[in-house]
Amino acid sequence: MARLEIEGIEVTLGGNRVLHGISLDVADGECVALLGPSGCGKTTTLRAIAGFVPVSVGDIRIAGRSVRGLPPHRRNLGLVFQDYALFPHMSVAENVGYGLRMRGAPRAEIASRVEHALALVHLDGFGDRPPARLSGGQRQRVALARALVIRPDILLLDEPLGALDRKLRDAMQVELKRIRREVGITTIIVTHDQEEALSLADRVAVMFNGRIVEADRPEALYARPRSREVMDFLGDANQWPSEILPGAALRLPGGGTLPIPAGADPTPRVCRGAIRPEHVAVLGEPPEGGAIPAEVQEVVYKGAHAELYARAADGTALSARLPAGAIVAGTSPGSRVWLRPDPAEVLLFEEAGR
Amino acid sequence: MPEGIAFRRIVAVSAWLGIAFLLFPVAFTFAASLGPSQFIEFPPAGLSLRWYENIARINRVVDATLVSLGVALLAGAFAAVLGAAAALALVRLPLPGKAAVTSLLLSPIALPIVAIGIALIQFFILLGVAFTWWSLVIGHLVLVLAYPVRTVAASLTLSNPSLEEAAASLGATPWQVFRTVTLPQMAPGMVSGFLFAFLISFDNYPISIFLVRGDLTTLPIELFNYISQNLDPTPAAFSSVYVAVVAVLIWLAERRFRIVSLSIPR
Repeated sequence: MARLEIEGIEVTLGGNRVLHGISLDVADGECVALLGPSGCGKTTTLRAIAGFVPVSVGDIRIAGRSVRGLPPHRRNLGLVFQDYALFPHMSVAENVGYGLRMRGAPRAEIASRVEHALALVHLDGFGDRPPARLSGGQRQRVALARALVIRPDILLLDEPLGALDRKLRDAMQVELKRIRREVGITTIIVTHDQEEALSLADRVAVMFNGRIVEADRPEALYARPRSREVMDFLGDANQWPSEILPGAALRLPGGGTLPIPAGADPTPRVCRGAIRPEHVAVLGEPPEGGAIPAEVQEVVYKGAHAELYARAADGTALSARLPAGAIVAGTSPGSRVWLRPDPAEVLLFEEAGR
Repeated sequence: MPEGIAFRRIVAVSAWLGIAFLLFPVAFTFAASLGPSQFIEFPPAGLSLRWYENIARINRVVDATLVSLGVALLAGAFAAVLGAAAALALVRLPLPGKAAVTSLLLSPIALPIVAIGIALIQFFILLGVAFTWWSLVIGHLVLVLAYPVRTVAASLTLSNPSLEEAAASLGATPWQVFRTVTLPQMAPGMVSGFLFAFLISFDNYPISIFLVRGDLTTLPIELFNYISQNLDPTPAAFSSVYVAVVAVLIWLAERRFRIVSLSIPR
């Protein structure tokens, strides 16, 4: 268990700079997710922490000690690979005990710690099986036990749920949270899946093009992103080119206005308005106050809710989330509705260059 | 679907014809070896093991077998180790000119074997080591090296490179990673490559014929000599024994190392 400090690291691979000064401070016992689209540098960051790619500028400290130049086998990290990378020629117990054998631990100690680690991931009695005879979820848990049994300073998870099917993902999510709580280990999760990041991490760092653009608690990041790119990447978002009018009013597509969010700068200027679909009410008649008249394009039923896609008169595409019970008559394609953003949930983004 | 059934029948018939074509010479040789007659006869007129007893009458049969065995074992072992090293470098390291090195290593398969034999004997005469046991081993090594390179490269390509990173992250030093993870991944390729190399060396005539002299001869050479002077089924008897031994060897290797899966993806 340890604190991890990443200080302005840059990584160049094959002549291309892939990390442009990543800084991140992870507290002892904290779980941080690196979230971003493929190619954003999140896996490279993980590999730099693990020591598989050299860092050209900056420093990485684990428990206050710089690991720059230290080879992977001397960093004492627990790494779980996306494809698990279980040794096919060893049994489950031999896989889990590998790190302890390499450290020259006594046999009896290896046996008891392996047993304990397998119990932690609920795989008691699977020790003699070859990895080939395990399911995907079981393999993942073996990989986790193998990484944890060496009591690493930091646990690194590369797309931990990426290879599992939907139902198993949900079960493993709960399982991962439980194991992390029991072990209380500093953890870095790399993922492109926002749901995985939001549900597992104490803090999420969103990465684009080799940089961390925003890092915050999941609720804050989702509800109050500081940039429109992050808002777009995390979940669905309605955005429209807008302006703040005199009198602290925000212009909506179609000409209506809303009061600007509390605390926002009321100086009249061009800006961008945004709102999550779940904070948009769908009305059959023009309401009092600001709303966006729009034509329904499609209603897509999604089980627990339905997604309504509409288009405002000026062409802005908008969506609203309806509880499944609220799919009312009159929300069929072509019908006219009024979309009312909840003024308390509206976000403002300054236009670039201002 | 009748079309599907017809297609499957055609495939099945072709497969069985192929197997029959491959097995016929073996079956024929075995049947002929059991005949009592002085000449190779098919079908045999009776049952007799006299030609099996006659194997002992092949000139220098024990000595030549020992030479062939020793040469094939050593050439195979050297080839397996050197080929594994070459394959490891070719598959895992970012080397310049990989394609050229690969073609060079595999070239003995493409060259006429007689040409290799002529080149080798001139080379050995130049070095003053011609017609020695070791020159025979080195000559065969040139011929068989390509096989382990291929099979070990296949093993490594099939194995997951993140296994080695996983081992390193768990605290294994580079040497421990090689010994506990990389080497076991290469083992099936080394075993099957060794078997290929061993069998091709043990069976080789066109290279050996240039490299042997006097009382240093190999088994295939003595067999050819015997055949050129006798027409009886002794070579058939010998071949039957040979096929049986090789079949057992391959069966054992497959059971332990699954070598067939290297050439036939599952």
